[in-house]
Amino acid sequence: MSDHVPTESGGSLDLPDADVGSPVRPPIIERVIRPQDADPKRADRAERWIALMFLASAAGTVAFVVFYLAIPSLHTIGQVHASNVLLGCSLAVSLGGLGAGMIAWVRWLMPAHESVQERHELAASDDDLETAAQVIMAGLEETGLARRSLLKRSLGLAMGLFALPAVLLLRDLGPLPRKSLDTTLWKKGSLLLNAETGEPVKLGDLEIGSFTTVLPLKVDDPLMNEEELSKAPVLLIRLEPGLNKPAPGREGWDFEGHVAYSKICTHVGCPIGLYQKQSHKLLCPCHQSTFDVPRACKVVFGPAARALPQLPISVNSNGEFVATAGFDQPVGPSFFERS
Amino acid sequence: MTTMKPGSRGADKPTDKPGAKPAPKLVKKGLGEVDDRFGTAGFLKRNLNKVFPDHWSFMLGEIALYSFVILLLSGTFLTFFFRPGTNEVIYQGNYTPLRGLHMTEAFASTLRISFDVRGGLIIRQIHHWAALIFMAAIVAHCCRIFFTGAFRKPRETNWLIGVGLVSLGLLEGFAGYSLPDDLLSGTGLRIAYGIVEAIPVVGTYLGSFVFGGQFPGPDFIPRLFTIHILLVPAILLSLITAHMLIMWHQKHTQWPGEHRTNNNVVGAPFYPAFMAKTGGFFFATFAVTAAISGLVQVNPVWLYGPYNPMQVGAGSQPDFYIGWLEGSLRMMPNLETHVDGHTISWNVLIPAVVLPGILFTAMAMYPFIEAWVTRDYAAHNICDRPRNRPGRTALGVAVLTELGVLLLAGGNDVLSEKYDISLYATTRIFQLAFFVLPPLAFMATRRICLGLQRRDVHSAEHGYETGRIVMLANGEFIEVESALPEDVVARMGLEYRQGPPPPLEPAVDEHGVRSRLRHSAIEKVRGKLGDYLYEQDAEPPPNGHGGHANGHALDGSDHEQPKLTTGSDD
Repeated sequence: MSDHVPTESGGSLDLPDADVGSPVRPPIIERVIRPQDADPKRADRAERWIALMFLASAAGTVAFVVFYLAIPSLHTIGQVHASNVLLGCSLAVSLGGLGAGMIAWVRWLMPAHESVQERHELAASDDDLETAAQVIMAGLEETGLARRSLLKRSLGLAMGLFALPAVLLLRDLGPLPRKSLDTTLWKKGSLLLNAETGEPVKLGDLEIGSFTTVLPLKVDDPLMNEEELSKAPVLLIRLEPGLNKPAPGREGWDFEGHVAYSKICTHVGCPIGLYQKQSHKLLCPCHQSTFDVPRACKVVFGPAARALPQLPISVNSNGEFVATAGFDQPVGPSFFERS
Repeated sequence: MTTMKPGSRGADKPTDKPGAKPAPKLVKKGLGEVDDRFGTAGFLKRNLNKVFPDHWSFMLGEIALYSFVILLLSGTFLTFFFRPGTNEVIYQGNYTPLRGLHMTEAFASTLRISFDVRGGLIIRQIHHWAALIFMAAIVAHCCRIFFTGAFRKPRETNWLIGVGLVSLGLLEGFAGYSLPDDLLSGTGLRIAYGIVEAIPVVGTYLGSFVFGGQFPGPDFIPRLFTIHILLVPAILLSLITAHMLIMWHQKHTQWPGEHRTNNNVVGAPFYPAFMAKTGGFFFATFAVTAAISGLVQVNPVWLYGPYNPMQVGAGSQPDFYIGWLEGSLRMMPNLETHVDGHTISWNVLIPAVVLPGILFTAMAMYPFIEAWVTRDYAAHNICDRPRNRPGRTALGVAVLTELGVLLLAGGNDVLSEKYDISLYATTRIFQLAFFVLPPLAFMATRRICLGLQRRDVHSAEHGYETGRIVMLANGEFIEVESALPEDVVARMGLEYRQGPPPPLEPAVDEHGVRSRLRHSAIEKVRGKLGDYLYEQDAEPPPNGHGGHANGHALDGSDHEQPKLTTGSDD
């Protein structure tokens, strides 16, 4: 490596093989001579190839316009699919021709010499640094902030308080959470309505080993807004008779092998969609928390920390399932205020 | 102030640069008009001639930049049709399987873009693919910067901006794919709300304020829309602009090589070669994005259907850049602490809040930590070859391995089904891999780097084996070694290798004063970290390069040469 003498821009460098090309351009450090640089015929051939790429781009653009107009309105899924493929591919040709042509132009026809340039020193001289620091201090002196403490403190107070309205204005972004996470629409006497049909589920509707999603109100009920709907889903599962082992204090919460548990996972709130009939386990498809249904839906695997809340159920005189009480705990993911 | 007659600057004047062709009058006149008003000639002279170093790895950042431009273009088109509303509508559009279904305006307008607006689907596909390419390119670019040490002084600020861009890119992508309000994105938002709820003390308040109430909250989609199309893109655009201006001002790093020093730049001038090539590269990036978008379906929301809090799709997967967080959520054991009527959900907090917090903080701090540990506060403009910094490279590979484990864990259900492994077994395997693989990757990478370094040193000193066997006068057969070309040796950057640590200051100095630092705990940490970043058993840098080949081989005095492979375990 040879020594470099820092030069003014545009000057030459003290390099053994530095080659000053054009005096207004950065000095060339290594001339690269390709076959096409020596042979004009090859250069012309390269030009024709590049022109071909640009022409392909133009053809792609025309094709795009044609395809757009040829499918005046989309009616079938097949047309949408065809339109997507044709428009995408013609756009790709249109852009790709331009891109490839430009890159080939640079690589094949523009000079390939390596130029060199000194890096300017980013840091200023110590003198300049000192002067800048002095300017800052002199200006600070002029403001008088250092001496006038009353000015400083009152300004600090005013500026500090100024942040308050900005924060305060955000207050109405949402209501305070209060008890909203603790409650659901389920209460004593709620019928277990089939989530699909809105009809009450009756004793005998479910086969042994099957399950269904139930709601306390119909989906189009005015009380059933999206927020309530997100907490309300319950899984009604029919187990083999005698399989259920009620947790202490929950005797009588099941009815003839039917048990009801919140469908909202206690991990981060996905609806639990998978029931493994043979092993009687509920599996959350999001993060695979697994709950053992006959044992009070305790967690047997996965990241969820709490068992699914159970809904106590019975059957009324019409043979319809009813809740004998609401949930005794919040449904869904844990949160700080929850005990 | 000089006064000039209009048009006088275009007048013919002999050029003071011998050998340069005078520029045509019209060009001078046009430039003069602009220069009179803005003083641009000096700026143009400097910047058009600016030399840019060239290497394929410098292209990764360009891909990120150009995907961002594609995202702005395609995104603007989408806003003309998308309606960020949660009002319920009954779908009546072209996609028959969903006709008559209740859905939000957001989902219905996404279907309209896909099936009723001509070219809408291709633009939607381009937007989603460009987002994936954007994030992939950012990650690749970030790896390039890390492994080549391009974050070192003077470029720490640009590294910090880069860390900001990665995290904002994640947020922007998540916000974007959550907007259509389909079943998949709704599930993602439900999980996001669950994560926010898990934050101690402020979680439920934060959730309520961000979502406008309980999940899903009627205000949330419109808010997310503003965040996605205005707030985050504006910050991204400003940060990218700053990123580019700083890069331009500080000049690009370059790889080691002949003529290349810490104080110069070797490459092609910005105008016209670099300008045309990078312009062409924009079109090429766009072309590849368009081709993928035309041929490969991405995020087919019509197959997922509208969001319904009672349903979830099996095998739900987020986009890849969120996948590692999904994996960490999945493999975390179910820890929860109950204190005085309050719950702390470690099972959510650690994987989804603490882990990314640690990762991004560590990324942001890394340039400063490395400088502190290695005591290297000098400005660096030459890229490190990853093998020449084994400690740093090993650390980077360990972190990437960890992220890879998390990403795969995020798809454990898919892996379980595809390879017929028990679902629970995959979780256990990933939990084990989380702790075992990164240290293994660290050790293996370090050894590989040192091995590659040794080979470089060896071939720089001895040259390469020519395969030509020569019999010496004394009957000994040797293989002739030939010196490597100078530029090949220069490209190895052997003089930039990580050396052994500088000697510690003596416990007692020459005046008999005991060193304060020697026993401080923080200095011990610094020393211990240094053990990993420094190479205790690295070769000393060679004196000059390529000088020894052949000579000693031919005179048969091979063993008397200074031993070059002196590693303790060699």
